Amino acid sequence: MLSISGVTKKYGKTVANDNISFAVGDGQIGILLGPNGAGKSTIIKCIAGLLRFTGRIEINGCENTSLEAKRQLGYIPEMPAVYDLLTVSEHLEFIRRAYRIEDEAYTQQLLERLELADKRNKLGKELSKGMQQKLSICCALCHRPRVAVFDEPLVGLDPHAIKELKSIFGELKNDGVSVLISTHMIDSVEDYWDVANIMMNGRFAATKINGQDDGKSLEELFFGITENSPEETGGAQ
Amino acid sequence: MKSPLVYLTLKKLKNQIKELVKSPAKLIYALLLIGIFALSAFSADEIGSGELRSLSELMAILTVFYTFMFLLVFLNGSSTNTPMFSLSDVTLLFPAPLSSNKILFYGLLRQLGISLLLGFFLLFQYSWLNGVYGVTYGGLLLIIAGYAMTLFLAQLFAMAVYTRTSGNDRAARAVRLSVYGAVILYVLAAVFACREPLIALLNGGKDYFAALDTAVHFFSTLPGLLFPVSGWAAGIVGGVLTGDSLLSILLAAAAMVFLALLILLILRGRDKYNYYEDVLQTAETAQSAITAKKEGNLEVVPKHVRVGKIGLNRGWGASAIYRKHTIENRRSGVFFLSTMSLIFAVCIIVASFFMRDLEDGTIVGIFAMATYMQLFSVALGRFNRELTKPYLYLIPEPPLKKLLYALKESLISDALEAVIIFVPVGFIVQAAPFDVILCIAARITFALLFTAGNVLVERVFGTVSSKTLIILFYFFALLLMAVPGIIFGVVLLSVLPGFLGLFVGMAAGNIPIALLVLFLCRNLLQYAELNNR
Repeated sequence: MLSISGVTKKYGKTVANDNISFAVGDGQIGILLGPNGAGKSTIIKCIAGLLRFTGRIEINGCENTSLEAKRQLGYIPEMPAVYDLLTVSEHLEFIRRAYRIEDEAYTQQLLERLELADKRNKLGKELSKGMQQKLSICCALCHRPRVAVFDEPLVGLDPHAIKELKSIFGELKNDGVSVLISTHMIDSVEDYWDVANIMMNGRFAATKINGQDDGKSLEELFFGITENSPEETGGAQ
Repeated sequence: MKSPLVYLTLKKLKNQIKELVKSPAKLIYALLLIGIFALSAFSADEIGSGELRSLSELMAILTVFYTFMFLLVFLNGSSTNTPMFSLSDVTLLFPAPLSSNKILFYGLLRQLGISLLLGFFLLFQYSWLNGVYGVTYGGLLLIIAGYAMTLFLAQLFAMAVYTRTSGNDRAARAVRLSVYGAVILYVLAAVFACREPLIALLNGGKDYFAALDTAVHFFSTLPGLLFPVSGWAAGIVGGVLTGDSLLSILLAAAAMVFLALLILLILRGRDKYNYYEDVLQTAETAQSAITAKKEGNLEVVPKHVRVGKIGLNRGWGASAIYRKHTIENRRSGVFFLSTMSLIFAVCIIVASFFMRDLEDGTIVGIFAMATYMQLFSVALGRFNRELTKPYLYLIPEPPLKKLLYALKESLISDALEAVIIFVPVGFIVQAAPFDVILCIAARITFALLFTAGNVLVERVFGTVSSKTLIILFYFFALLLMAVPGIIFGVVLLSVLPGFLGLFVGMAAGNIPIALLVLFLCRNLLQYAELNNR
């Protein structure tokens, strides 16, 4: 369970996130939609403990900066976080050792699924952007997190990896993991989300539950909000 | 209507100046640089009371320095750090209906400007250049012009070679081997010129200075000044400084002919191999380097990495961070030291040769210079690079434990670096072994202090998005943190014999301050502020 209560993040005078509250339950896939600069990546970084903020973020009941919360969190950044001088296999060994994970089988499985197994001895700097993104995903999932947050995970991936990642989302959901995905590509998430939050100017402009028939598709709702003026949309829930 | 290239050049220049005025951080930085230069000029009067050293020595230094830079820029693969064209030039100008000759001229002009800017740091060398060699402001500008000329021609040379050899690996290898061959010949000629004192040294002689004097003679006179571009540049500068106009004119003519030849090579090569294609790759590489820098990625990764043994094999929890660092170090540099640290070490050791004649306190002077350089080498350490990746913050281990393991490799490298620098320096300046040990110990305490300074700046100013301001804070914080140690050192200098007091005092000030700062910032790795990384 991922729970965010009253989170505000400011950069100087700019309010990137303004009193945001939401939750993603066990076995749920939540998505954050919004145009560039809406504050999606900021809230994701706050959840990952990479930014200071006011408010409270809990991961399975533990404050997000506690060791217990870190143990249960998987974070996939927007820009692939890869070490230039480590090989693919060393990245995963490093994460396993740092997280004190004995089991190697799941790591191998992830490498196979994302077609990185034959690149295991390649250095991070030798990988293409897409492969770096795949490695970043493997690093974030190899310790089997209970809460996984993805920041624009599909950008730069090839069709096979997109298909595989979507299937991984489904498996995480079935395993009871809380999954949060930030994206601005509505088409890419149309088929598997449970709850969608549309962000504008650092706030939630709308929240939609999948299956609830309110006469509007997610796309219609999104464009209805983002193509109106900020005064009309700001803060609407 | 103005030519689009003239418009672009003027507009960019105007906007850069406007940006300087608009951005307080950049303005402060510019004012600070002017202030440091003024201080450097002012302190020159203090140094300049003694007898001046021979200008031949300065010419020799310039020849070696320029040659080093020339080879570095040329062999670095067509100057990937400061390409002639930015990626926006490549994507906007190249497809535009503009003459490729005019675009090339625009690129050359831009490159010349960048080369001049790169020589800006030489301004801060005014105090010792004036104090030791009597170099005036005009002379300093000339040295900068020589430096800019060297870089400019090196980049142009690299581009010309690339244009003429692209698509032909054998030709590219032949040119590269020719350059290596020229360097080997040059070094052999230098060794041959110094053969007598060198043989005497090999036979157990102790007159190091005779060998050095012969080397100075070689690098400051004609055979030594014939090394393309760098030797010529040093000769032109030296000729003007010593009043040897003929030498300057001859070498300037050689440089002009070389420039004309390079432009001809690039333009003539165009029919067969368009230079657009050649600069595209360097522009893209430079753009990704700029992006990486903006994201806080400071890693300078060598082009060819020898992977060697694969696997961490050890480390559990936080200690895996240290194991990871040792692997990265093994692949990025020599032993525990980065390339930058090695360059700094060589610079300090070479400088100690020239400072060996100073009376009492030579080792203290070298120590001060080495500490100044250490400010930069510590800032480029692996710990700072690690802070830019999220894993360090995400790993579920106590923050203080992670901090200590993340620092472990840097501190070991710094200790090793101290030994590598001060043992040879001690031999060169014939310092007492005890003083050398003190220098090593004091340098290690400064490494600890500067590392703590880095942690402090990240902890306190992590939210500041301006990199310039962060650098300013970094220097300010370090100066402030170093003050107690320096005061202790000065006080104890008069109490204890030799330099014992100075070094013991500095260590006594540095260690507690560093440990206190590290302790106070222990939660750095729990709450990061990776806002713009």
